[in-house]
Amino acid sequence: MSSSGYFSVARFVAWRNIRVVIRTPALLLPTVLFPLFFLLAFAGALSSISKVLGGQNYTAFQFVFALLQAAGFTGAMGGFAMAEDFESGFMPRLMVTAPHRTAILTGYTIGILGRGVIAAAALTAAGFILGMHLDGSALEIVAMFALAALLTLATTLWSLAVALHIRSFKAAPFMALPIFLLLFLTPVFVPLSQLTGWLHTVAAKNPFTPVVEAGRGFISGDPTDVALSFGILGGITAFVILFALHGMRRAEAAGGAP
Amino acid sequence: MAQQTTGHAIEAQGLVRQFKNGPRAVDNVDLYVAAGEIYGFLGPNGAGKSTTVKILVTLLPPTGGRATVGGLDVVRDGPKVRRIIGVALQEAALDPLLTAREHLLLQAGMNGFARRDARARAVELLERVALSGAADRKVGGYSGGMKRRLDLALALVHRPPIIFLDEPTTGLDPKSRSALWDEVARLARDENVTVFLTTQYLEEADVLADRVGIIDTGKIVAEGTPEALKAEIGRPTVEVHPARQEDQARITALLSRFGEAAAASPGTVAVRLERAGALADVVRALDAERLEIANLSLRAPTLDDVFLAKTGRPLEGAAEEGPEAEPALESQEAVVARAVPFNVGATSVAVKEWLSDVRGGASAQTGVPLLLLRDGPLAGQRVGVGARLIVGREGVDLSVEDPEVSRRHAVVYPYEGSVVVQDLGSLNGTWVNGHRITQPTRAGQGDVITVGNTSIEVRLEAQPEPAGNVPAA
Amino acid sequence: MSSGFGQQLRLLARRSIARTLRDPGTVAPAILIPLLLYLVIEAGLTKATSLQGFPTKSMPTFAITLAFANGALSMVGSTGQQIATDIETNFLDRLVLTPMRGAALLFSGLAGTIVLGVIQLAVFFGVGLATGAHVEAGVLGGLVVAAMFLTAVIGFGALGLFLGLRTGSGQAVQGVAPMMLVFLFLSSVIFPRNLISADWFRWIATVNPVSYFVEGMRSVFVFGWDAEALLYGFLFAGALVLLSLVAASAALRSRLARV
Repeated sequence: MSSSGYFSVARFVAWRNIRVVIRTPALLLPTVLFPLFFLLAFAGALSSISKVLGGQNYTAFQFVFALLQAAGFTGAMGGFAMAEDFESGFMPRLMVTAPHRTAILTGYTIGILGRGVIAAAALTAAGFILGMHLDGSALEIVAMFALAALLTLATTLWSLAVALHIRSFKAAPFMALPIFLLLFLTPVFVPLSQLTGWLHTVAAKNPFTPVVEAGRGFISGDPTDVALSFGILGGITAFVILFALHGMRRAEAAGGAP
Repeated sequence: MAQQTTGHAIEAQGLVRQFKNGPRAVDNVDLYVAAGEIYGFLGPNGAGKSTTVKILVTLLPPTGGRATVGGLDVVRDGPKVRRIIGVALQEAALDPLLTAREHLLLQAGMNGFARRDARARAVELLERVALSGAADRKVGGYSGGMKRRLDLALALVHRPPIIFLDEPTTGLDPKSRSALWDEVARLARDENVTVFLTTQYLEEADVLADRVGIIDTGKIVAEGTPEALKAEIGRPTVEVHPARQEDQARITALLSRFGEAAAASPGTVAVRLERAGALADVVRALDAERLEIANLSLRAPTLDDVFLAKTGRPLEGAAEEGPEAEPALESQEAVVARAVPFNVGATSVAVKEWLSDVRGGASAQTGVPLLLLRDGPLAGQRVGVGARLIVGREGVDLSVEDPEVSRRHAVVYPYEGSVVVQDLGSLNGTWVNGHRITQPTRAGQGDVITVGNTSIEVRLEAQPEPAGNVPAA
Repeated sequence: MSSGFGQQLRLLARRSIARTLRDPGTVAPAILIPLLLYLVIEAGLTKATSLQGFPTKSMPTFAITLAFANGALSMVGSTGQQIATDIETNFLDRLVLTPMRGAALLFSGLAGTIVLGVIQLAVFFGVGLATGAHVEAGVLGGLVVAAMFLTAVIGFGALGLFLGLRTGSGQAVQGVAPMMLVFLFLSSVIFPRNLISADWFRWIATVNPVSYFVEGMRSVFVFGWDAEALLYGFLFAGALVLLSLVAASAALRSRLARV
C-alpha cells in the first residue's frame, strides 16, 4: 500500500471521525443533549439561587458547566470510537498499514476536537435561546472556549490512551467514569466559596474545580484562577499524551489484539 | 399427558405462509409424518424450513392450507397441540442467568409437575444429556454444545410424543453432533417419539431420518426414504481429479458427453453418469485424449445429487475458487474493491459495503473487515470494505464478527429480480432502510441492509456465467 | 397436565427475582446512581436553604426524595430490558409453548422489580437518615412513603414491560429509558415549585405529574402530614399502575397473538 506520510494518515483518520458524525448526526446527541438538558433543568429549577449568589446571570453560570460537560463527554466518546475500531478490526489494520502510528493518534485527536467544536456550537446556540448573557469581553469569551477546547483535548487523549491499553469495549467505563466523577464533584450549583461540608473538601482538591471557576469568571467578566486553570489542564494534557504514547506502544506489541 | 389421536402424527395440506411485502416462505407444502418416525426436513438456508416448523408448533399462523399435529388442528387447537409437542428451536432459547437445573424445574413446573416430580425429572434429564456435572452453573457460561443438549432436555421435560428439532446440530463439533444423533435415534426407537427434524446437513438426514422431505424456496421438491430418493436418481457420480490443472477445462468438456455436471470438490470435475456402466467409456475416452488424471472415484448417489437433480444446483455448493486472504488497506481512503465470485446461478446481486452505520448510536465506526460469511462456500471468510459480493440462488449468509456465538445472523438471497433479506435471530436485528425487519423482506436497488454494525447497499446487475462454472440444469 | 395460575406465577416470579438479583448490571446502577445524585445535590445546594421561604433548613431532608424518585423511575429501563431480552433470545417463545397464561408472565415480571424496590427503600432510608435527613411524620410517615414509593415502582416497572413488549428490543428500551431522567429533572425534585422564579420552568414542573409524586413523598419528610400532597402523590402512583398495566397487557396480547 502506498505510504503517504504522517499528515495523510492523520488527515484520513481525522476526516473519518468527522465524516461519521456528519452522516449520522445522532451520534453527537449524547454529548450535546445531556449537558443541554442539565443546563435547562438546573438553570430553570434553580433560577432563584442567583439571589444568594449576588444576582449574577445563573444561566450563564450553568452554561459554563454544561460547556465543560460537553467537552468532557466528547472526549470520552472519542475513546469509544477507537475501542469500537479495535473490536471491528479497523485499528489493527490501520496500525499495520500506516507508516507513522502516532499519526493515527493525532488523527483521532483532531477528529474528536472537530466533533467538540460542533457540539460546543450547538450548545452555545441553545444557551442564548435560554437567556444567557455573556458579560465577559471578547478575549475572555475566547479564553473560555479555549479552556473548553483544552479540556476536550485532555479528555480525548485520556480516553484514547485507555482505548489503546485495553483495546476493546471493556474500556468504556474506565474512560467515562473518571471524567464524569471529576466533573460532578466540582461546584456544580454554587461557587466553591458557598459550598460546605464534605463536598467543599472534595471540590477544593478537585483539579477540575479551578477550570470551572475560571470559565465562570470569563463568562461573567471577572476572571479568576486563569493561570491555575490553564496550568492544570496543560499539565493533565502533558501527562495523558505520554500515557497515550505508552498505550500506542502497548497496542503495537500486542498486534492490536485485546 | 394427552394421548395422540389416530392418523398421522404430523400432517400438512397445502400449507402456505405468505409474508407481507415478501415472498411465500412456505408455498403449498404437503407432508405427513407417521407416529414414531424420524422425519428429516432438508433444505438450504432460506428454504422455508424454520417457518414450516414455526407453523407446526403454533408459533406462527399459516396464511393458507391446514396442518394437524397429533390429530389436532394447529390453528383451532393451539393450546392442546402445545401440550403434546416438545420444541427445540434454532436458537437455544435460554436465560444466561439461570442454571440448567433451574431451567428444567421451571419448564417442568410450567407443565404442571409437582415439586418433587419436577426435581426427579430434572435429575433424570440432566443425566440423559450428560449435564449433571454442570447442572448448577449458570447457562451463560455453557458451550454451544451444552446449550443445545439442555435445549433438547427442555423439549423432553413433559414427555411429549412429538418433538420438533430445528437445526439441532448447527454449529456443534462432530462429537457433540454424534451424541445428539444417538439420543434422537434412541428416543424414536425406544420411546416411539415422533421426531420432526430440520437440517441443512445431508449427512444428518441420511443417518438419522426414516424419511426425508427436501424443501427449496418454500416448496417440497422431493419426499421419501433416503434410499428410495437416491435410487430414483439411480446413477452414480464419477469424480475426476486432473493431474494437471490446465487440463480441467478439457476434462470438463469430455465428461459432459457422459452425463450432467454434479457437485465437485475444488479442483475436480464430477459428472453424474447417464448409465451405471458408462465408467469404462469414461476411462477409455480420457485415455484416448491422453488426459492424465491423478485420481478417479465413483460414488453412489447422495442426497446432494437428489437435490441437484430436483433443483438444478447442489445443496452444499462447491465454490469455484476460494477467496484470497483478507484484503489490505490499499489506499488512505480505506476502500478496497475486490470481486468475490461465488455463484453458479443466473441472476446475481452485487452488494457494496458502506463505511458508516445507518443505525446511529455509539456503535457507528466500521471499517474492515466486517462481514463474516458463515456456511456455504465462503464459510469463515471476511469480506472487506467495498467488496463485491455476488449472491447466488443459494443465498449468502451474513454474520458479524462474533467468535462466541456460532450462528448465522441473516441471509440474503435473490428472488424474482430483487433480493430477500431474512433475519435469522441476529441479536441486534437485521434492518432494511432503517426499519428493523421481523419477516423476510424484499430489498431492491439502492436499499440498504444492515446487520450488526455493518451496512451494505444493494445493487442489482445481471451476472454472466463465469467460465468453467457448472451450468444450471 | 397443566399448571395452575398460582404455580405459574410463583415459578416465573422466582425466575424474575433470580435474574434481577444475579445481574450486577441491574442492581448496582439502580442503587448507586440515585445515591450519588442525592449526595452531590444535597451537598451542593446547602446554600439554598438560606433562601427565604425554603421549607426546611435541612437539605438532606429536602433532597432525599430525589433518590427515591430516581430509583423508581429507573425501573422502566431495568424491567423493560429483561422482557426485551426474553423476546430477543426467544425465551418468550419457550414460555409461550408451555401452558403459560399471559397474566402470569406480566405480574411475575414485576416480582424482581418489587424486590429491587425494597432493597432501594432500605438503602435510601439508611443513607438518608445517616446523612441527616429527618422524617417529620415519624415512623408511620416512613411507611406511607414506602407505600407510595413501591406503588410507583410497580407502575414504572409495568411501563417498562409495556415498552419491552411493544418494541421487543433491548436497544429501543435503553434508548427510551433516559427519558425518565428528563421527567425527573424537569420537575420540582431539586427545588420547591413555589420558589422557582423562572416562569417557564415552573410551568413545566407544574404540568409534570412526577412533581406530584415527588411532593407527595417529600411532604412526609418536610411537613409531616399534608393530606393534599399525599392524595396527589398516591393518585399519580395509582394512575400510573393502572395505565401501565393496561398498556402492558395490550402489548402482551398483541405479541402473543398467533392462533
